[in-house]
Amino acid sequence: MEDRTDVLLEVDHIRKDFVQKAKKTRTNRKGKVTVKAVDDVSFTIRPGEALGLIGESGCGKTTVSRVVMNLIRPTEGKIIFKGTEVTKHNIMEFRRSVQMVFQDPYASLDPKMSIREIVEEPLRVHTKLSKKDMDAVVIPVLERIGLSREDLDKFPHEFSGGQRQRIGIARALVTKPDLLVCDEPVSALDVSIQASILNLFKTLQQDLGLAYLFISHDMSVERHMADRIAVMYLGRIVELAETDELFSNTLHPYTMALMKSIPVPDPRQKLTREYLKGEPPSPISPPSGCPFHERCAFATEKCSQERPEFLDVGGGHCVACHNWAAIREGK
Amino acid sequence: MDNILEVRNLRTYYHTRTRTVPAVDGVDFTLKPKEILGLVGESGCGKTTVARSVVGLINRRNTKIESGEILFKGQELNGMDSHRLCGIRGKGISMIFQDPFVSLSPVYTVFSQIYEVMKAHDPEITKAQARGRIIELLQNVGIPSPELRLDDYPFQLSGGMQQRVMIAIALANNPDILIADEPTTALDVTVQAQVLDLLLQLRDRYEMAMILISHNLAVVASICDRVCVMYGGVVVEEASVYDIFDHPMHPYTKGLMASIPSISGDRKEELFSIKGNVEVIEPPVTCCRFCKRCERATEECRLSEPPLVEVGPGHKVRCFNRDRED
Repeated sequence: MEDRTDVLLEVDHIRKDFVQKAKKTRTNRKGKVTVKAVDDVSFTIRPGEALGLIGESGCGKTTVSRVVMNLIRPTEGKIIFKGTEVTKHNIMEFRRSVQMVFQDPYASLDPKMSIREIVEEPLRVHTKLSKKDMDAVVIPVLERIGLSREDLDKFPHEFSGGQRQRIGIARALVTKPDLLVCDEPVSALDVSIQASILNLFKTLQQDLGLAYLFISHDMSVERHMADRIAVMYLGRIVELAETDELFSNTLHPYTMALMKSIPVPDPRQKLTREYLKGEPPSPISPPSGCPFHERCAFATEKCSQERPEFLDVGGGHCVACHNWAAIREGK
Repeated sequence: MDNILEVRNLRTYYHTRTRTVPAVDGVDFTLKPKEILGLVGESGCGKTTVARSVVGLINRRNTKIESGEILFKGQELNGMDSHRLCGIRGKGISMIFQDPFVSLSPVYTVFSQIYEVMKAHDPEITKAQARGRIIELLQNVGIPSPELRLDDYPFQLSGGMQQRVMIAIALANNPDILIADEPTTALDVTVQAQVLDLLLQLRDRYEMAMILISHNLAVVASICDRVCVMYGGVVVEEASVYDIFDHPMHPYTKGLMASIPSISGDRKEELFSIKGNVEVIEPPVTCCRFCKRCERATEECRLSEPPLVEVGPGHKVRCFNRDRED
């Protein structure tokens, strides 16, 4: 396995079940159903590394980010940050070092707070700085993300979507975190704005040595941003590899299907008919065996009975598929 | 072949208490039978307003079609009385909207929502007659076991299935033109591919023309025949899908293409980004609408608005510096 000293964040076999009320029936006397939102997910993030997390809606990627942030407690498993497990005793220190950037820049900034108040707020929680000292911290951060001192007393409605997302990033950066958890940070933005925000994330990574957990449903965004990518399906990671390795040597049939279904900005590559049929099954009653077998082109008898292990098949390329060897041979 | 839809010099303005916003400010385009036309642009460029003006679905209290002709099979739709327009809407031209969950009524079943559209154009039709046709429709849009889905409510269906129901509603009266406003934006990529392929198949089966509105160039590339790129309420470039991706000429089109992270080829360290933001320019316009964000802008661009000039067969560009190499 990897060198433990070189790990910033370790997510160790986390599971998160949500229990819902349901109709009481003869087979379901308690009137409860369990949704396995996240089912045995483990990964590590090294300092300065961007880990991409990709999957369709409902696959559990947002739940993973919430568990990582300790916003919800996992049913099982633990989060280890810089070698120590995150518990309620050291949560404040953890929250200072791990900050979050949200999806919707319109919903994630309080319209009644000025930019100064928004960006200062983490400092008020985590430090005892005086008002004057706070300005000395806030202004360089604002300048770094492309706003200026004059913007301090403005309010969110005076900014465009891209600028608001920059303010959200400034708020996350102000406590000098080591890790940013970004949940779909560019999916609400227009393409021309999206490019400038992605560039900003890249520069911050290089200049500040920031690590990212970068959640997205967009394969091309992940390819641009992430050093390693984890692909999730129905609450589990099905494939994890270095970005170039994942794209050149895809092993899991779901990852392949995901790549094939992305439209390419080239009219000569018309739609392939090899896209995935059907839709993701419900996490309330996941299929037996491999959760993907019903939609999989490579599925065999074994796949419907036995759940595949998540194996390292060499060079840190991990995959959860019975047929990975045959797929690699077939290339 | 004759054009099935011609839009000439369409201007639709929003009037607020303090100002006038020219959402669409002089748009021309044509649509041939069985053609798929893409309208691309970022939010606020006026693409949805164009579509809503065509079908007359604008809020008359604050929105006005200032000028322009909308000719559907030779009939003028602009200014047509609402009763006659209702006869065309849903039958001649129908529309699918972006978010199926919001567009479908939560309190009616799939059957009654499709039946409503059929009955609007054919008051004689009975439920029993409609049932068979609706089952066939649902089958055509790829809903498995449609007999069972018929009496479901929208919340019982997934996003992809809801969008298929929306498409079925739009197809219920065999329209000549289908306007699809961001039909896949709310869907996952794997489902998006299914819906795009479905639209292509349906175009052939129902022999209809289509206007696809999208901000996603890749979606446009995968199914459209011709593309109009919009910026600031005007078309800045129009060409066949091959020309526009092979030889984009307008700096905005070029910028849009360069700013998409690519899925193949080299991984770039930095993406191209168009500087600045989309701004509202109030009429009268006396400069190129893109000049503040354009790297090629010259004095000429700041003094007058460039016309849309035909530079090749079917390829039109609105830029003074279109021939300059850089």
